Amino acid sequence: MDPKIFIAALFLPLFPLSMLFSVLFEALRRPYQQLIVLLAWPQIGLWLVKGSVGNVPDWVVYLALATSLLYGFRALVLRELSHWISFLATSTWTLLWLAMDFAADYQTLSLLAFGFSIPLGILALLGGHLEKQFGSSYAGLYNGLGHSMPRFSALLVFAMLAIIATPVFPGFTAMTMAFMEVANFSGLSCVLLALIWLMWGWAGARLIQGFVIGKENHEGIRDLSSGLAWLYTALLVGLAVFGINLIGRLS
Amino acid sequence: MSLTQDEKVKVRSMVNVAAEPVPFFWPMRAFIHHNPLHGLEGLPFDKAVVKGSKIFHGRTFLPRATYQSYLAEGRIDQDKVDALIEEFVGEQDSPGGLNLLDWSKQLLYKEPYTFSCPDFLGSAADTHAALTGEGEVNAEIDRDILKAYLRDQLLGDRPLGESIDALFGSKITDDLNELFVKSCLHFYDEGQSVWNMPMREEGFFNAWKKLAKRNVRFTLLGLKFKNILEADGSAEGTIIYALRRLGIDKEHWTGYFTRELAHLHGWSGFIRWREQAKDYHYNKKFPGDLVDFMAVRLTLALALIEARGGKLSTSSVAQIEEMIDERCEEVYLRHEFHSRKVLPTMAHKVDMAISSRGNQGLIQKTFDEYFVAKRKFLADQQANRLRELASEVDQRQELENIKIPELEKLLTVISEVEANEGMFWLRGMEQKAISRLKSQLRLNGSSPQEDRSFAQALFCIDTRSERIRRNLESVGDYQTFGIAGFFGVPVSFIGLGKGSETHLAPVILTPENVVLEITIDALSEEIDTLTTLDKAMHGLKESVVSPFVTVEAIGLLFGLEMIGKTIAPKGYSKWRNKLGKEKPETLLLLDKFSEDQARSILETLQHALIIKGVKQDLGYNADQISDYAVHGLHNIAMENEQDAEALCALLKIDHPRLNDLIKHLREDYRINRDYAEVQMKELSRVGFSLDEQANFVASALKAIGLTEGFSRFVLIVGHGSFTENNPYESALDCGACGGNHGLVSARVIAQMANRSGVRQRVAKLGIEIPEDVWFIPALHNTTTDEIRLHDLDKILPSQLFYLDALRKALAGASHLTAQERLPSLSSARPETAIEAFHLAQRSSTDWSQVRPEWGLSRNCYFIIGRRDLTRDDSLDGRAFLHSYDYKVDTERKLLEGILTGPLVVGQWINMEHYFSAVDNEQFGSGSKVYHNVSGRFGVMSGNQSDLRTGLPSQTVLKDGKPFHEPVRLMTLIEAPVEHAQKAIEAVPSVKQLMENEWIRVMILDPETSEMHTFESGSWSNVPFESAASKALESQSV
Repeated sequence: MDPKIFIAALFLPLFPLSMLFSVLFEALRRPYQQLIVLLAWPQIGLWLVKGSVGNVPDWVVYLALATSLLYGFRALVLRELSHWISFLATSTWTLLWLAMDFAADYQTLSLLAFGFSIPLGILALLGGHLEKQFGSSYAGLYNGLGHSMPRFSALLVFAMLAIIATPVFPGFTAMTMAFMEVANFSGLSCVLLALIWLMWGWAGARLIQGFVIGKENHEGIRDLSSGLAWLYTALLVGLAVFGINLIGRLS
Repeated sequence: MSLTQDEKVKVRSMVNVAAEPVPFFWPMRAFIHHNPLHGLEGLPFDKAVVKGSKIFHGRTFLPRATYQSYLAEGRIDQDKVDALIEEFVGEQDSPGGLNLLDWSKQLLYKEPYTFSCPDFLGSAADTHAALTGEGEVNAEIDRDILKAYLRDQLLGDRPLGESIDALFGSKITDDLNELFVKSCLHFYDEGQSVWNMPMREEGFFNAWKKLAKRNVRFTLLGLKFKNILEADGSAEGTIIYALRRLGIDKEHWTGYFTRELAHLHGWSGFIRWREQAKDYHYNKKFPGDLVDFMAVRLTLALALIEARGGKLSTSSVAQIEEMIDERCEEVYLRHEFHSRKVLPTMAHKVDMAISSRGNQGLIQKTFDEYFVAKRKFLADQQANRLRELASEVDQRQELENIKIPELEKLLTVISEVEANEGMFWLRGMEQKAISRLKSQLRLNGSSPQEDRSFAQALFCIDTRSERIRRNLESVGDYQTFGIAGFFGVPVSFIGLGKGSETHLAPVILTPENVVLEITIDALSEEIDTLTTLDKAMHGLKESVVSPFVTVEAIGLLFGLEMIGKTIAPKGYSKWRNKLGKEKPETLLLLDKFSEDQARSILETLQHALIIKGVKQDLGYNADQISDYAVHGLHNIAMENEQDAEALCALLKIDHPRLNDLIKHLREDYRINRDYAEVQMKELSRVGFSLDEQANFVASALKAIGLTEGFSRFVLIVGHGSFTENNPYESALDCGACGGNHGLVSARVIAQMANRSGVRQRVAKLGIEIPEDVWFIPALHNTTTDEIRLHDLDKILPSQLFYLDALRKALAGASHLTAQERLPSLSSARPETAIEAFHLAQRSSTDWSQVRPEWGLSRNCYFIIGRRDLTRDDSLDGRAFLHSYDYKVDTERKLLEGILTGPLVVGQWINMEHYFSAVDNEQFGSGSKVYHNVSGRFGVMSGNQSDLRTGLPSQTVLKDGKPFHEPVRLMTLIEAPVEHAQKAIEAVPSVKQLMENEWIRVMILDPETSEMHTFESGSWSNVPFESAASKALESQSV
């Protein structure tokens, strides 16, 4: 086995090396540090295995699916936002192994990685805003943000939709691509992939419920400034445009 | 386990006592405004709101920031609030030279959020340490205090499921509510379900327990009922069994019941109302009371707790007590985390510790770190806010030099000021409202009218009448009066073709007399095609399977309707009404029957039924059945003498067939002696004697002071609302008519007053009604402000010439009122009154309109006095106006009547609006947008929730802020002070409302020109300066 694949398993985290990424990410307390790691980490992994595109061993593909499922499943019970981000990052990035196995070109892979990472990065920044307001970003501790922080809540919901691979966002294209390819590979992989997607959606919905839904009324809480809200919106719109563009490539 | 009768009675009485704070909830078909804290009216208002807030977990005053914005807008009398703060602070010692008055004012007027943060870890010593930087927060904790705190939070009368949830985040209460609400929906359904719950005749608990054992969902959830339901079998026994199994101490049972009932106060309020409504059809048919409610709920709770709590080794009070005794640190951390009180910065650590499967080392370590962190957080937070406050009042230096006991005192005062601030603000708002009213009153208003006015109109006291009355008076020579919308005649009404009685009176009265609506047109037995089609379509929608094919088959028809209702609601509604069958002209049966008349009517009805029976049994046509045969059959069925032989020959049947027919008539058509007696009793309730009619007419006229100077037309104007797709339509109807339209009541009294026999008797009572006076019933549509005249076919021919002018004036008043109302309802700015009227008409027919009108929102005053008192100024649709002239009420009976009925109903309406405005989620019903009609008697939010009581946000809020200004009802009586006070004394319920300050009472004495105000337990009086005299003074200056 190419030793680069082994090293890349840290950056496109495969279990058990994925634990290292989790530990590292949890140690980062500042949102912008998290953003940088989220953007750079999978790119390093992809760069390392640039030459192995189309040549990934089957067991790696299965391990990637199992890791993705495991982390998606674990994310269901997580309430702390940065933990949730690190788990979802692991769960989404591992699927790049599948894309690699089916010989997607390096540039597409890199863009897909950004497609996964950018909404996670936006979520990390939003988490930072929450920490400033409440002292932590912990779902369920203070729900009902939809009332007191409508701009923040709307962005949180759309970032979450991008992360859990809903249509027009790049994640959706990536998952569709993976399904199309995996369908020829094995039925089990298809089932695993469907379960992973389900876990993401479920975990995302729980998080939204823990933050946005509810009747709680928070005193003295400030919403995102409109400038920042527009910036994040622009990023999400850009992601959506990129997702649509990816669909073009898919065809 | 088997209970004695005494024990059962004891349980019943405990449940009933526990339910006292829960207000009735009437079916929404006839929405009754009620005070959500009606059960606490025995307490003074300020104490009741504290208790009510605790029981129902609702806010009882507006947030401080809202009051501050009111203050800035001049809607609060700052002098009054200042005076109240001064009075309060004056009773306190000033700690450490601090100016408490400045601190309190700064806190209330400038700080947007509350300061006090009651947490048992907070202490003045810690705050002092944080303030001065001397020493550290206390790192020691007294475990006995901690245990006492935890016992207080988790035990006592707190439902065990809630305590387990607070420790494990188990959601037992949510699941319990879901399962329980479903059970209630199944049982209490009043025709919405296509498949009904079986065995409902046996009562709620009995029917439910039979089904529970076979309920697949319960089995899948792992709920085991066998032991619980077989322990005793009765509802009372099951309650006791469940409480004992849960380990609830007997002393807490009543409190426990209250908590359970208040948790779903909509459902418990409905069942409580239903239980006492002995004549309510569904209660008679499917009985279910609060004991059943409690038995079902506790059975479900016990099963859920044993299924879920068992896994957590926490399924009884004893186990929680043991946890507190042995692992109080873990219990504390769990409680902090699952009650969402945990410090956010430590939430993850606490989560890890309590999820560590009993790793006591980790728990202890986390606890030690956590409670110090929390103490520090609380101390720092309070110290920072104190510094900010001190800086604002220039007392920073004094604060820094403060000693611990002084700081403790300061914190206590601040917390007490905040505990009382709701009342300060409320009194400030009320003072402003009183001043506004005073400035509009004219004690010696318009001089008595010499000429006969063109028409007089009696309107309901409803606040919406104020505008239309004022506008009608402005368009011509009209005199208006205010009277409760049932016009003093409590009626039980059976409408044309209806089989049930509707009570047209305030709910505190039970009408004894029945009025029937009859028509001279023959009633067709055939239902028109459109109605049949409509019913068929709804049937298809409500069935289980048919909607799948209905969409394909006839979806287009629904689509057309949807387009019509959405794009052109007004035109569509007009067209749709034209297609429907018109209601024939009807008369009201108002006169009492003599014994002979009643018997004759009964016989006629029985004969008609016999013809039906013969048709059905023998297959004859009506013309084949002779009167002799009918008479003969009637005789036999009623056990009178009759030659059976001849009857057989007449009907061409043999004896056995005749016997079968008679049996059928007796049993199925209920033509028998026993039932005839029941029917005779019922018939004796129909109508009023002439004396009764005369008394009602005379009392109504005297009550409003209309004893002479009658106009040609006296309009009796009932009111009602006409809206589409609005389950709350009844809330917009007449409260004095039990939440129904007021037209029938108007027709009843008009029909009485137009009878010569009645007028003769009324004359003997001192009121001469000239012959050319005609009472015309009318209906004020409060959604459009249109007034439509009724029963014009009976009008005197000589008066027909004037009708056109009358109609024009009414239309003018309607248009002006619509123009006045519309700006607050929509963003449209109609340029003309007629345009406004058309927009209002559109709202009335628009099915997407969530706020077709404001209803009684912003109600504030209840004025009992002459119209001249308020005639010259606009009261902005905020006043209930009851006409009253003390000069014709020397014995005070009329005033007592006004206080007993209309005022009490007004107070219910006012309190309903008050609490719905201050906490719309808890005391109101939230947004209409999420409402679903449930069981045909209430609404729920989403697919399942408690029954939503109170008013929707669209009725009391605008853009998320209160549109209704929540103040208590300002009641003004224009009468000599002694006269009014004696009347109040004579009505204990009103006296209690006044003394406990649920209403604010003022008496304007026209003889001494003094205004007497009741406040804080005593009367005070000030000279009253009328607006008219003020105006005169300013002119002379």
